[in-house]
Amino acid sequence: MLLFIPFLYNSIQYIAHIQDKHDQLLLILSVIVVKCCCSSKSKEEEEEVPAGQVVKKTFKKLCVLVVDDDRSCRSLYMGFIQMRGGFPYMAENGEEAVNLYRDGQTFNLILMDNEMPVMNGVSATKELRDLGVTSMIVGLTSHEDENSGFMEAGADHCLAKPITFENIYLLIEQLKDE
Amino acid sequence: MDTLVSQLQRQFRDYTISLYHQGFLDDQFTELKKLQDECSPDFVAEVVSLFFEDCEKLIGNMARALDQTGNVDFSLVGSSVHQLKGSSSSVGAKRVKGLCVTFKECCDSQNFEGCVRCLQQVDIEYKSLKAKLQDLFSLEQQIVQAGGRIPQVDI
Repeated sequence: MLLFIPFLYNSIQYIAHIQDKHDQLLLILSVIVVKCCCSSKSKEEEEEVPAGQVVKKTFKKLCVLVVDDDRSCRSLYMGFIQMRGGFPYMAENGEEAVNLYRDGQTFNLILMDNEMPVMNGVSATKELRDLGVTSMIVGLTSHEDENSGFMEAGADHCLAKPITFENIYLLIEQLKDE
Repeated sequence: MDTLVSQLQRQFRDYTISLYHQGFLDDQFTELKKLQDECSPDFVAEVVSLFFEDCEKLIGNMARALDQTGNVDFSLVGSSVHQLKGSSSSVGAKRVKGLCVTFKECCDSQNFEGCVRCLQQVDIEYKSLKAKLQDLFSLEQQIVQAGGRIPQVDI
């Protein structure tokens, strides 16, 4: 059973993918630790704002969804995004990314790898556009052949891996200006 | 007279440079280092740790797939190689990435002996890099414990 639980850790919003009971136990323990360490200020803020509006408040910041099945790549991009003042979120494959949108989440920018299990990046991009998603989607490609697939599916840009942080700086700065 | 800190810093600098010159690391590792600061002092160690865990898992997958004598699914092996190539290039593991390129070619041409050779080399190479980076991180810790700052190394 897959379970998505959003939680905050060091100001990074994580969407945890629980695959088995071992993961579930670790997550529960992590959340307990995080909640004990959370500042009272953040709790007060949450109590003051009605539940339906917390989501809107978060989305005034730059929210970036990283879609990549590789953990070290995800950590890298997330570290970078946070350093540039963005709020990184993660998904392990295209289907998880699509499901986030179906569940009502939205993001300013999606960094989409292509080769992933369950659903690849090109398919996920097409599904997102078919859903009416207008977020900026950047395809992260391993070879040039993947570019046309991404662009035809509706991606806004493609970047060749390994990604240079300069490329992502420019994207984030562009979105901040908008 | 050299202080302990300056000796350690010189050692760190020389060792870092050697890792680049010997082809273990490339510019992408430099990009990784830029993300490390006082707020996230262990960022690089954490990311490479994830990388090495994934290496172990992927190499295990490849070994199991290649073990199916006479019935090897080269596309399965190739998929793991592709994943390893992606993650190694993202963290700057230059030699591992280079081996993955050759490995992928062997998968595409269904060259069993070539794949087995590449698998052995990839296994040796990632373990070698892991040991060298552990030594590098250990030097960093020694510098900090001795009261010094980790020097910026220009490659």
